Amino acid sequence: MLHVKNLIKHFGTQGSGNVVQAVNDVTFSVDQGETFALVGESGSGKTTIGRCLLGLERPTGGEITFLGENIGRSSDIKNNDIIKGKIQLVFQEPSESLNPKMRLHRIVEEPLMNLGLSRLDREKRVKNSFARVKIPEKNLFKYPNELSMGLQQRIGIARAIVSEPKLIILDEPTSALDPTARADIIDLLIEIQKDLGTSYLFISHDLSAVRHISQKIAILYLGKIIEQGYSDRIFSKPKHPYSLGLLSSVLLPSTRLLRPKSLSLAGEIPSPINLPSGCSLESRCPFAQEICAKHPKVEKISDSHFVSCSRHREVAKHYNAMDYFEKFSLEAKRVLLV
Amino acid sequence: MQEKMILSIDELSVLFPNDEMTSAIPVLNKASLNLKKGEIVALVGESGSGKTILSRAIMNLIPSPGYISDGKIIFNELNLLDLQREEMVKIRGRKISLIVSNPKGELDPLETVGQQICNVLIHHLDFSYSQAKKKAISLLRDVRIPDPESRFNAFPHELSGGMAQRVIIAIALACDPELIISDDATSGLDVTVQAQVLDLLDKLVREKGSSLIFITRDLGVAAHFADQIMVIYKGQIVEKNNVQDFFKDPKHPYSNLLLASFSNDPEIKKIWTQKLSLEPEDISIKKCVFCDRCIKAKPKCFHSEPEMITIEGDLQVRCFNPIERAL
Repeated sequence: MLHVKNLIKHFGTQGSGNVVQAVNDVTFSVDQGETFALVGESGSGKTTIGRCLLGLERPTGGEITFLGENIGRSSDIKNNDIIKGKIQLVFQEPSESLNPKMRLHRIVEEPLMNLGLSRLDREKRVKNSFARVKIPEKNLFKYPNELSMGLQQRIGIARAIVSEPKLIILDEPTSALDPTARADIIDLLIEIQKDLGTSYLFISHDLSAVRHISQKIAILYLGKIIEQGYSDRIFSKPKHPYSLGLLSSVLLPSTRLLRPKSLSLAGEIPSPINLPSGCSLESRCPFAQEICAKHPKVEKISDSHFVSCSRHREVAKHYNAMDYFEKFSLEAKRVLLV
Repeated sequence: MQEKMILSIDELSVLFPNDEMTSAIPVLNKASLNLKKGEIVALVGESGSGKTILSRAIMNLIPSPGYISDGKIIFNELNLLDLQREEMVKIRGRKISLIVSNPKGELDPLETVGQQICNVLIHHLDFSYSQAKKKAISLLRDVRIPDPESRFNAFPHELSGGMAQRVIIAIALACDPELIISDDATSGLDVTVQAQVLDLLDKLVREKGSSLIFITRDLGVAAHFADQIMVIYKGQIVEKNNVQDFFKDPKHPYSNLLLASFSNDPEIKKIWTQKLSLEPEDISIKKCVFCDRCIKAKPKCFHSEPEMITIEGDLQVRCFNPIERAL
């Protein structure tokens, strides 16, 4: 349904002639009814990709096709009747992405204004949308500040689904929320997907949410996908040292699961202005050797599992085969099923 | 309790009056806490639970119009609430220091980070500038900032979030405080950086024998770095235990809900999650703070308030029907 091919987005910096290489040669596709997760730290380019898909940024290179139509410029999306309203976005901070001076029903109605629907139709859709996110209709005329953060994010979701989109881009929808509200939103998203068959592009650094909601994931580092594949494969048998580092820095609430500290990454993500000439992770990688000064090739491990690391065979041996999240799930069952 | 406590808070309550000053909302309700020297205690709660107010109360920095209505805060056998303003200034940053989230917002954008570390040393320890500079560079080295000599002259905007958080930690550690309070210090950081910063904080605290109150909403962080855990909900501490036992056998229904929300198992979630009500709460009725969301709620819970009871050892819980499980 959505195909992104060799997407490149560079930003020029003011004054100096430097170029920020925010997204570098990214290729992936999202199928109907599927959740595809883009995972990475801040500065990895995941939000820029989302903005390119919405036509908010114009890609420097590459192709984006959605429902067979070429998109990439905002005018492509605005004026194309097939695509109009078919891609929606849910933002990170619900309190900042809902207009505080608009009543909730107006906020949710807004995406429909450009679609040429009658007022009655719009009203009906807004009410449906409220029902989908399980907010009683009597709240239609409230203002956003009268709701808690978790409920505000439900309004954000109601606004996204009201135009019956095929694809929703979820840009860190849970990272501002408390644990109980977060679990609630994730469950709601899964339920909506089941009912409506919407595809999600889930942008997040919250690995436990990603594990739960997505079928496929791509791990981004400095604007490049370093590993991509089915999420159960990547979570149980990660190949790239960055994936290993990321997985081993997750802190799950159990005292029995010890973090493999030897896999931790040192330092921080380097500036995307002067990209390292070789492997982009070389400076932080605990496995780096001479060969890593050269650019790694993208290798195919199995059907739709790709990794870009010259030493992935040796690296993979260091991760014990058990899925860390699976282990926690067993532990949680033992404690919580009473 | 024979062992000497560095901090003991006794039934501390904080009230925020409404605009007409006719009634007051209890933001913190009879919170008690005991902290031994060298111990790390995690205070876990969601937003609005009063965890930040507890940290501000210890520093005597409750924002107006809130006030401490009742209770004692004994720090090194000294009731902090009896102190004059000038005396408290000598304790803040010297004996007790606070690490905040949003490191960039807390650093002065117009001063180099080195200067900001020096300020603390010069103010509290009467260091000369050259002494302070030497110490500041060694502190920057302790918090693993690469090339500390040149970073000394960096302004906050030149640092990444992780680096700025390290500078805040360096400032907090500058005077070797006996008690450090970390208020959601790592929540804004990326996971790999968060793990690094936590490891570092853990190591430094253990090395220097300071005590640490770790305020967080992430049970995972608590599980990996704390000795004791306290769960706070709507201004009340609802459960206290040592970390090992807590994760084996959480007693309060809220603790269980919190833990269940980290699990992705629909079966588990179904057991613990109650339908969320959207009605505003009537705070005039005395009842259990959690009764509306509790799966174990009995009629009793809706008209009387449970007290904190000690079950055994470290375990205390504020609930009429704590969860029983066969171990």
